[in-house]
Amino acid sequence: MVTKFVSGSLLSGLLVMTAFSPVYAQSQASNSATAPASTLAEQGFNEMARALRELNFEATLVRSSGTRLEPMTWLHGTYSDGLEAELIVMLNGPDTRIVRLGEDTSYYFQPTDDSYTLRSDVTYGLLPAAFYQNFAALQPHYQVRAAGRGVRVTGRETHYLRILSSDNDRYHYGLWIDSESGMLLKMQMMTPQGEVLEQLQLTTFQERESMPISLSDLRGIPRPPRLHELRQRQPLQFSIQPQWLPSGFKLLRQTHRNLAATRLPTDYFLFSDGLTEVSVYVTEREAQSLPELGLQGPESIYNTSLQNHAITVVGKLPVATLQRIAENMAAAAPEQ
Amino acid sequence: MTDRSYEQVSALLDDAVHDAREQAQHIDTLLSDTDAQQAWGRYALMGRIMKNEASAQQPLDISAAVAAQVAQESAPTQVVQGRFGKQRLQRWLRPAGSVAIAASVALVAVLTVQQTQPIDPEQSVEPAFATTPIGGRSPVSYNTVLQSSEPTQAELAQQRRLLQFYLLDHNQQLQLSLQAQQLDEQIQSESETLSDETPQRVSNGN
Repeated sequence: MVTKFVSGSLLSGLLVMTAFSPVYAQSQASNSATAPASTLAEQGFNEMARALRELNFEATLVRSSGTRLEPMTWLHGTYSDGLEAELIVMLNGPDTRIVRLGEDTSYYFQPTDDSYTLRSDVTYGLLPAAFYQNFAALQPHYQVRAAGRGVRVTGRETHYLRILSSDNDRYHYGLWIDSESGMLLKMQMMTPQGEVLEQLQLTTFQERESMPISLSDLRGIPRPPRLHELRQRQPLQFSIQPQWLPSGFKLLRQTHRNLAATRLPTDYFLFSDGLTEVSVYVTEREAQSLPELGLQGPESIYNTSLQNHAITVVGKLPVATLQRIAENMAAAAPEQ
Repeated sequence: MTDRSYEQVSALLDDAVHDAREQAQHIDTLLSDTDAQQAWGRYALMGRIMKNEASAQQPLDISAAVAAQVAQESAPTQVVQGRFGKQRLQRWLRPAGSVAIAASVALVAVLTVQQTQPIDPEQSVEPAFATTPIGGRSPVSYNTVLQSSEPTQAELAQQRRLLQFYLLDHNQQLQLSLQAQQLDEQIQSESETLSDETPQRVSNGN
C-alpha cells in the first residue's frame, strides 16, 4: 500500500525499508531528514514508559531539589494475574508510604492518620504521569532528542535523552536510560537556560525475574478511604480570565470555590500540556494582600494584581511563563 | 549447660540465692533454657526422694501436660481491634526509624525562605489532605524576582503561609485532576469500540 503512493525515483530506496517496517517507512516519507534521530529517541522514551510499567525491580533512589535530599525505596512488580504493584517508602522524615495496586494508589501517612486512596494508575509525585505513556502524547509541544551514549549511572551503561520544549516556556528534562532494561536511572529537570532544579538518581537497581517478595503480600493490607470529589462545579464569579498560555495547554477544569485553608473565594483554572500543569487563581485583591512577587523553583509561583483582582499562577514552569500568563489576563470576551 | 548453671539451678531450688537481682536473673535463665528446666525437675525429684516425699503417681514433668491443656483451649474471641487495621498496617508501613512530626508541619516548614524563626506547629493549619506525598518544594532555589516594599516579619510569615496554601492547593488539584482523568478515561474506554485498536500514524513533522 505504501509503495503505491511513492513516486518512481524514491521507489528503490524506500522498498528496502518497506520490507523491514512499513510503518517506519511511512513516517519517514512524511517527515523531514531529522526523522531517524528523533524516532530513535522516541523509541528510547517509549521503552522507558514500558519499563516503568512492566519491569520487576527493587531500587533505592535519592531525589534532590535545592538543598533538600529525599531518599526512598521503590519496588515494582506484576502479580501473576497481571495486576501491577508499586511500593514507595520515604526513608527520611515523616513516615510516608505509597502503595499502588493497579489503578488504586494509597498514600499512608504516619503517625497522623490522614491516609487516603486515589484512583490513579500513576503514583503522583515521583515522575510526571506522561513518562508512563508513549511520547506521541507530548508532541508537538515537546521534542525528544537522543544524545548518544550517556555516562555510567548506578554502575550501568545508559543512553541519554533530552526532552525539550519547542518554545522556551517550559522546563526541560534530561533522562538517563539503562541500556539493558530501558529503566529510568536518573532524571534532571532544568530551566531552558540549563539550571538544574530537581534531580532524581537511583542509587541501587536490581531487576528481578518475578515480583519482589516484599510486594507479594501487599494485596492483603487495608486500604485507606477513597477520596471523592464533588462533581458539581460553581460558575465563575469574576470577570477576569486567562487569555494567553503557551501553545498546547488545554483547560482541564474551571470553577469557583473557596480555597480550603484560607476560605478565599476564588475563580480557579487548571491547564495542562500533557507533561506539566499550571493553576490560575483569581480572587479579590483586598482579601488576599500578597505583594507582586515571583518565585522560581521546581514549582514556581507568581502573584500580581489587575484592577481589583489578585491573580496567582502556580506551576512547574519558568516564572517568566507564569508572569506572561498573569499579565495577559483580561476580562473575558462576552459570548456571542 | 555448664556446671555453673547446674549450680545456679540447685541454688535456686534450695532458695539459697539471697540477692533479689541475681535470683531474678537465675529464674530468667531457667525459664529460657529447657536443659535447666529438666535439671530443676530432676533436682526437685531428688530432693523429694531424699525427704521421702516422692510418690510414683506424681507425673515427673507437668509442663508438657500444661502445654497440652493450653493448646486445647479455644482461641480468645474478644480481642480489641485497633483503628483502621493499624496493627497490620504498621507491620508493612513502619519504616526503620519513624519520626514523630505531622506531615502538615513538615509541609509548612518547606517555605522558609527568609524565615528567621521556625513556624510554630500549633499555628500551622493542617491541610485537608497531604498534597505532596513525595517531597515538596525546595525553599532555597526560590529567588524573589520582584518585591516592592519592605514588609514586617509578621507580614512575611503571613505571606509565606498564603503562598504555601497556593502551592498545596495546586498539588491537591493535580491529584484530583489525575483521578478525574483516570475516571473519564475509563468511561471513554468502556464506550469506545475496538475500532480504536488500529494504529494511527499522524504526521507531526510540520
